[in-house]
Amino acid sequence: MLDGLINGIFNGISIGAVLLIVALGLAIVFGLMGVINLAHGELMMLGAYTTYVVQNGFKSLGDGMQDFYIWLALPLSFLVAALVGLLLERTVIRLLYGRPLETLLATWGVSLILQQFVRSVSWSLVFGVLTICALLFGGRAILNKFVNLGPRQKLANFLVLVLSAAIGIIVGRALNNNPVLEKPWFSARNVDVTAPKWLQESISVTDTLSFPAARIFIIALTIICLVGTFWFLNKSAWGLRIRAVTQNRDMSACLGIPTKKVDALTFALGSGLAGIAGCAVTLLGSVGPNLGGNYIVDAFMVVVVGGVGKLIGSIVAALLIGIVSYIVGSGTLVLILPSSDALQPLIDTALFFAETSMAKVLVFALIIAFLQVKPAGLFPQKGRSVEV
Amino acid sequence: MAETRATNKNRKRTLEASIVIGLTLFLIFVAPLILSGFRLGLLGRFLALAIVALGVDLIWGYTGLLSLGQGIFFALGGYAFAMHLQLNLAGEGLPEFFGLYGVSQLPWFWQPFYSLPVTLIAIVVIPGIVAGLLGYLVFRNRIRGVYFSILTQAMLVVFFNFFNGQQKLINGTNGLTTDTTILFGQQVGSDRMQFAFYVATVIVLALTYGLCRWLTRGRFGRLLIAIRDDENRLRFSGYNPAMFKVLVFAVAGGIAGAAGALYTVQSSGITPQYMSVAFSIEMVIWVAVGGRATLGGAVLGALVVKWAEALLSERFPEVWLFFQGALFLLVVTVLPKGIVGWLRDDAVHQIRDLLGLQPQLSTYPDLELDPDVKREQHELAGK
Amino acid sequence: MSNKILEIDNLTVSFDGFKALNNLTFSMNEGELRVIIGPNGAGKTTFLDVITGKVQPTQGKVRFKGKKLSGRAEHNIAKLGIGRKFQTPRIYLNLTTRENLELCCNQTKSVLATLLKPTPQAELRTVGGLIETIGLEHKADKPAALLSHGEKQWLEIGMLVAQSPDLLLVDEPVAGLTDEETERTGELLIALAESHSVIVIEHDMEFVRQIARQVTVLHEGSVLCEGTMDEVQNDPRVIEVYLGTETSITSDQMLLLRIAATMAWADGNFEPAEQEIILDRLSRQFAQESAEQAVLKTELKDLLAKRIPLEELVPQLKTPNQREQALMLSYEIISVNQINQREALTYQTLLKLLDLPADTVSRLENATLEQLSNAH
Repeated sequence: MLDGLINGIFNGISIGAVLLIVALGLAIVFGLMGVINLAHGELMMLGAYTTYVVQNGFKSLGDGMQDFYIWLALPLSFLVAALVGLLLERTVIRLLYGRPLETLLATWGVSLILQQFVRSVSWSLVFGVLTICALLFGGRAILNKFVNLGPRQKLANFLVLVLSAAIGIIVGRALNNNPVLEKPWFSARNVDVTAPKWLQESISVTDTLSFPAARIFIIALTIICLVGTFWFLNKSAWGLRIRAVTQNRDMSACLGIPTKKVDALTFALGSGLAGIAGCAVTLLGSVGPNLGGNYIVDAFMVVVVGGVGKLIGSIVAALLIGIVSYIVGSGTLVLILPSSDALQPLIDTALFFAETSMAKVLVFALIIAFLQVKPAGLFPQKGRSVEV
Repeated sequence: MAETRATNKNRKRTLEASIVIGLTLFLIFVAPLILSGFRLGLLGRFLALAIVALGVDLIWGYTGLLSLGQGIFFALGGYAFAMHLQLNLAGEGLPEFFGLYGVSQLPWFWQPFYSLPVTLIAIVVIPGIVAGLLGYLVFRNRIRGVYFSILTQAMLVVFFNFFNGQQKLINGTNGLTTDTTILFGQQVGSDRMQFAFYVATVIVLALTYGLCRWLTRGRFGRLLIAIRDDENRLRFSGYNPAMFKVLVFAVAGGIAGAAGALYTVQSSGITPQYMSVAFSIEMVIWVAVGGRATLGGAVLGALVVKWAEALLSERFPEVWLFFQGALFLLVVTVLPKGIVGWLRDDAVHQIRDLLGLQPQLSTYPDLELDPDVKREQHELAGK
Repeated sequence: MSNKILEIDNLTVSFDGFKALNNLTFSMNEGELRVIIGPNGAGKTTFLDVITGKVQPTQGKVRFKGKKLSGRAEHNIAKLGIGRKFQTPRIYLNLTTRENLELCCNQTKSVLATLLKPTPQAELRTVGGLIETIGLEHKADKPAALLSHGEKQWLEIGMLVAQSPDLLLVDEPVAGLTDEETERTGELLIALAESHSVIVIEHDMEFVRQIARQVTVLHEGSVLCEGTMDEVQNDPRVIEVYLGTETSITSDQMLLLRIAATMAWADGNFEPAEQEIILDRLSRQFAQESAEQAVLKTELKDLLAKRIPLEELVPQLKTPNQREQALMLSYEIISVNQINQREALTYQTLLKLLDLPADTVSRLENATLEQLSNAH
């Protein structure tokens, strides 16, 4: 029974670690910038697909290499997600600072686009999009530099937009006739990433107790990311700038801190962490376009329960939610309770929730109950400036 | 001056009422003649969704509460009606699916749904009460803005998991079908019944429109806008915004319930997918596209977006998600006031600007009335 | 003793150990207009936050008309009859001026009453009257977002009045207003004080002087001193917290300084030479060593900018000796350069107020002149 409990706690911690690594990027973007990024899950998914691609690449290199793909996959998924995040910040989020509800809707739109993108991305689609971009930006540059249309300039720009979109779509459709170019890269089905051999094993502690290596790896990875983030935010020069901007944007700008760069950097950092999280979860299950949706709501709960803007809060909340979910969902609670008639209703209740999806129901209900007591989370911010 | 204001208001109101009645009559008597049965069915469903959109507009457009969980109330209404229909079909026995899971006794909460009047009340009241309760728990603690949005989304996931997981209570993932069931001795899926539901939808939509207009019109409506503008300030004027929010959230929940029931019977049944995260956010985009804080915009937005979806996904299924994603982006960046708001405020100006025509001079509002200007004019005239 | 409308006992508010208010005790009579001043961070806004229920006290009691306020929610406190105007105007930007006022005018604030009852005619009339009072007739049906800063301030005061509370809490009503607007705001507040109890928090001393009868000075979360504007302005502790340095002069010496400064301002033109004399004389009089004198001179410079009517100052002089000193100093100042008409007039006023025997006056004047020529 003790083994059961330890096992339960270990699994809970490992679920918590996954939640935490997902929530970490979110905590930075939401907690520091006040941006609700519903596309966070999809950035994770991009990280996961990057891992898939890297793994396939290593597979083709030969047998021995297969076990080392993860060391390249981790930084690459960080990079890919961070770059997409950067693009997102530059084009969309930047326009919406101070309007959190609008950001929420916009990022949801981005997440839909990203989901559909991995489903239907093919060479023809890529060429089509590239054509549009080339024509649009090229056309605009030419128009603005060499032609002076005076008041009709806007109309001309608008027409360039329409024309380049039309040409791009036609090019894409034409390329679709070629079966090679038309073939989707990933398709809508889930794909599997084979973990390296050394992560497929279990590490046995006692005869009856053993921990899967993949889960220990994720816990370690989470700790590294946490420490790294903490160090970056609290000790590095850019971290100081980020904290300054989040506390008083206007003042920071006056002091010569490049706030736009800081925004972009912060968002890219949060997105990159999502990429790493995506790489990590490939060790636990298959990869599909809907991967992000499974985690995003839980991750937001972690941030809300922990208290916005506090890393320590997110850590505690993630571990608590992870442990409670596992112990309830796996039925460990039923095993722990001594069977007696007096406790029968309690056991029945525990059985009712002893299922992953029902455990979620209970945990969320507990969260709502918890927020009745501490509406600002575990570690709330205090002072006069909190509520304006 | 006060009198002209009052008559203006009255004239506007009469105009609006006659437009609503006119459209209602058009939808009931003329639309069936123009549209094929399939298209009419689609329109009926979209009109049901327009009802939810009105509720979303009430809480988001007017009061500033962005709920990502309207799917809960929509589905609760749908389930309530579907349960009644299932019981109707089963007659004395149990609905068929219970047999699959070896359930021999009807769960207690199914009992009240034997009665049609109770069901009809429950369709509106149960989602309303659930919404009121959830709203009370959240608003009491002054959870606002995006936190409210995230929490409603979490609640949605809770309800989804619950309905999805409880096969023995509510048939889990498979949901409840309605088109083979029987109401008033007719099969629900039959053309006649479908047309009846279509007419019912149009009437409920008109009534909901009236309800929302009544709520947003007078002092109560201004209070909702004040909550959106500065909720905390309101406390210092002696109002308790939490209770107003609870009421309006409950009303929107009830509206969603009615819409859900009408949608369910027109689309062959209900599954927990009605509580998917995506569907609830989609409801928001209808309002955003149409124009928030304009009731007509909410209805228009729902119809336009759904119609576009129907057309696009018939021909290019994979393009729809791209399009929908782009719609979200466009509506927050380029068209924040929605179609109706754009037509009302910016359209003329922006189109002129785009075409490179002379921009219209915008002047300070009522410059002539400004006391300083008046005084200066007076002084100049004196000299 | 008249009725106390507000009593505050030993109030302490701490945020994570930082005491924003510290053992504050305060009381105020019904119908009083009280101005609260204090340097930044003195706890003025927190003081209002506690009264209105936005912040719960860590310790101590607040009583309004004998009722305890702690534990009540903001809206309940507002319903008891406390209205508040915020530091930066907080109005509902998407409602029109009229609607803003109407919303506050509503006397039954429950959900159902607001929904079901149409606005009574009486309230509509009140709103109409208020719009005239705050001078926004021409913008009554424009969204409040279009109002200028000053108009917003006025609208918010109007909203406060519409609420018809017994106690008005007004936080910096003239911040960012022009002089003219400030004066009108002052008149409005004085008019309001006839039928309400009012607490005003303000930084603008000219404005405080215009409206204040009783002033309370807050410092580091507690009451530093209380009294009329002059008492407060001459209190060395107040000067210390406002200017940051401890001045070595007493309130009597302060009075002399004020009279002299007012004389120097008489022609609306404060010349450096005059300034020099005041500083020189005072520092010589109140400090013995030259180093001390220099320190005192720099300290006093900041205080010279104030100009206060002689009618208020002179009666505060207690001993004949002080009056003579005041006369000599004033005479010296105006004699530095050619005496013009205005200076002469002010000097006559001073003489009348000092009410010294004629021979003393001429004796002192001669002595002063002698001193001046010696100095040359």
